[in-house]
Amino acid sequence: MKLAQLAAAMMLAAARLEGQEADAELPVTPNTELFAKIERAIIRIHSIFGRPVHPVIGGVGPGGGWGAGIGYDAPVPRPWHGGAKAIYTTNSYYVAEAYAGYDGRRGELEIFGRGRDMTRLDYFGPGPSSNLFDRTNFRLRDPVVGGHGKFRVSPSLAVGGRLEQLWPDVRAGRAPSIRSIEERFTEALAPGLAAQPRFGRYQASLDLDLPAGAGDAFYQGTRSRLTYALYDGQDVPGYDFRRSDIEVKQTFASFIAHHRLTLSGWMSTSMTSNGQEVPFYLQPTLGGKSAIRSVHEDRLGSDGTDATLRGYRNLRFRDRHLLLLQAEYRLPLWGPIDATVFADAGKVTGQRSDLDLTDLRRDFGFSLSVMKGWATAARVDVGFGSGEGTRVFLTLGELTP
Amino acid sequence: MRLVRFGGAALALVALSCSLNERRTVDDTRLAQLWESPADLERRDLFYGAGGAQNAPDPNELYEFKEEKAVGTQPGYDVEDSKGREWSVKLGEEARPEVAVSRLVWAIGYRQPSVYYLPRWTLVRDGKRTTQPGGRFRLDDTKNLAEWSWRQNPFLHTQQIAGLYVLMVMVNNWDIKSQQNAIYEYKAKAEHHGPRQQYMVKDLGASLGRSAWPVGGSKADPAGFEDEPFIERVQGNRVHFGYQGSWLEPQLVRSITPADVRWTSELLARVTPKQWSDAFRAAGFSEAEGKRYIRRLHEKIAEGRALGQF
Repeated sequence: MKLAQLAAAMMLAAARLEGQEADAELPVTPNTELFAKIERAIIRIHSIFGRPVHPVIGGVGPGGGWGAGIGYDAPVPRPWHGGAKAIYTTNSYYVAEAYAGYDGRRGELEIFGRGRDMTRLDYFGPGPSSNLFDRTNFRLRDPVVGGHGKFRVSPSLAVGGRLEQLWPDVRAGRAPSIRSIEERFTEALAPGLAAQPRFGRYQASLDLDLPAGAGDAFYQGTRSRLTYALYDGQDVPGYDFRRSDIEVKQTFASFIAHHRLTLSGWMSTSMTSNGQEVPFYLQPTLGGKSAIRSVHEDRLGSDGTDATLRGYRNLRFRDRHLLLLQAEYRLPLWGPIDATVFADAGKVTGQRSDLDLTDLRRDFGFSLSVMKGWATAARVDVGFGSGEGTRVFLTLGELTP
Repeated sequence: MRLVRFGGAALALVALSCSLNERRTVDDTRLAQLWESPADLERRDLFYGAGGAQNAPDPNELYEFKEEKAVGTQPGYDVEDSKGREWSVKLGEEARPEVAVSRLVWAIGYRQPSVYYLPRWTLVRDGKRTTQPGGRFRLDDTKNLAEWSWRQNPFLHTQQIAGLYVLMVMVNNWDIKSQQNAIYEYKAKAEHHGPRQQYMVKDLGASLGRSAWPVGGSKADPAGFEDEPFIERVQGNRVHFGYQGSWLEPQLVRSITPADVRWTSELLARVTPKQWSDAFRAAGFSEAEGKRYIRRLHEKIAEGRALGQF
């Protein structure tokens, strides 16, 4: 029996050897080899950025330029998430932040802490008539700790909240060729310049999303958000205020496949009791792409962007009340490349009664984007028609220099 | 009064959005070029797939070299068997996932070419025999008429084209682009073929791994496939997937509704345990690998069927 098994094994081995008359080599043509090399290189880059500790590239705030740093994504199982990052930019801005949270089907919750230093933020004075030639700059350090969350009451309706403690600190700006804020403005024209209290921010929000029609149906959904926030100045009197914001974004399909028209509006009003002021560094701003925001705080914005008046500089206008109206038409060009043409109009005012449709600042322009599914991987916006020159804004992912 | 007006306007918008939530339809003759309702889904042979047992290549044959593949990232050949049938053979890491996914695509009613996997086979080139590693064999019984585009095709915005994309997401096919699609015309008409001209996703090899953007996902990678989340969230009647692929088709990514995911999931839920096993066995995956894929796909199907239940 053993002899028979041995013979069978030898026959099988011989058969295998016969089959291997020559070693099998994968034929690779030069073209195939090139594609394969490119694919391998991309995989290598992905693997570097996909590690828990990885390099990060991005911005910190308006005027900070591009920066680089290190990020950490905690390897925790979904729906939990956590991470940290630190970035230092070309204009000496830095940010260091950490966050951890839960993203469930019905609700999400996140706690965070952040330290940030922005050394050259623009300030042109308050109101709709501020002068471009009054440009000054200031330094803002705004460490913050807090949390925010959202609970979905129904598929269309969510209620949310945000609690924060922040320690703003305004100092002289460091831009070499621009005056510092205290050289041009006083407390009367820049409330909060003299002293900065510690703030508690207590905010509630309501999100209402109406579903889009399938495919290229004309109605492509409505998104709206109402927020109400209390800012409690805690150790310096005179800076308590309340703010309400309402945003609406409505999208329609065009007659051409995949084209979209988005109409959006944002109104923000701040309220104070007698003798109280809204600090200039917490006033809503119009102009450009960037704004000063808290951790993971977003606006609905226009189509794929939260830019405001794109024909103007970042932070060009600020005051207690704000109105912004935008129209944006998106057309796909090739593959992931989309273009939009847009028109923006808006104003800031010191009095709520002035928040009307007269004397709006206007601009128009176009954008080119590389889309990553729902998100924008890279985008350039070019704004004209403001009378203050042509503005170009580059966004890389969710980050703006 | 103002509040009543606002409420009325909001309700009108909701009603409008609901009334416009139907997907476009095309006539059955046209649709049959892409998809046909799989009445016999549970009886389909997922070991041999669309081509059936009668067309399967013989692993003991000698395959005569005709031409070397000149494009793409995967090496391959055009070869001819002793019956004079020509085959396109794809080697490398895409060979197995392509066959397994082709079986699933065909199972739920979409058109697919005759593809098979041979774990070992013999190539004859200039009279010299070499034993080759596993390869995907696609029968050259069709003529490739043209590519078809995901964003401009006769089935745009139909349930079936959306459902096909959902299936691509479920199997993590990250290399979705028009060049992977073909309008095939059968050289000889046969009863089982269906319409002579058919719209197919022919290149399915960048599947069953982890997707990445813009490219560079893994293929035939069970661990990567298990790790990738399926549905991230639903917002405004659109599904956001964890899937990172199809970078060339962002409009497609943004077009999927919960109803589309449920539609594909319900069809896949009809595949029997034996059929699941056959699909992965036919592609040369080990039993253990097959089980891991099947388990994850069942999780996705359950997630998809539950979508919309708040």
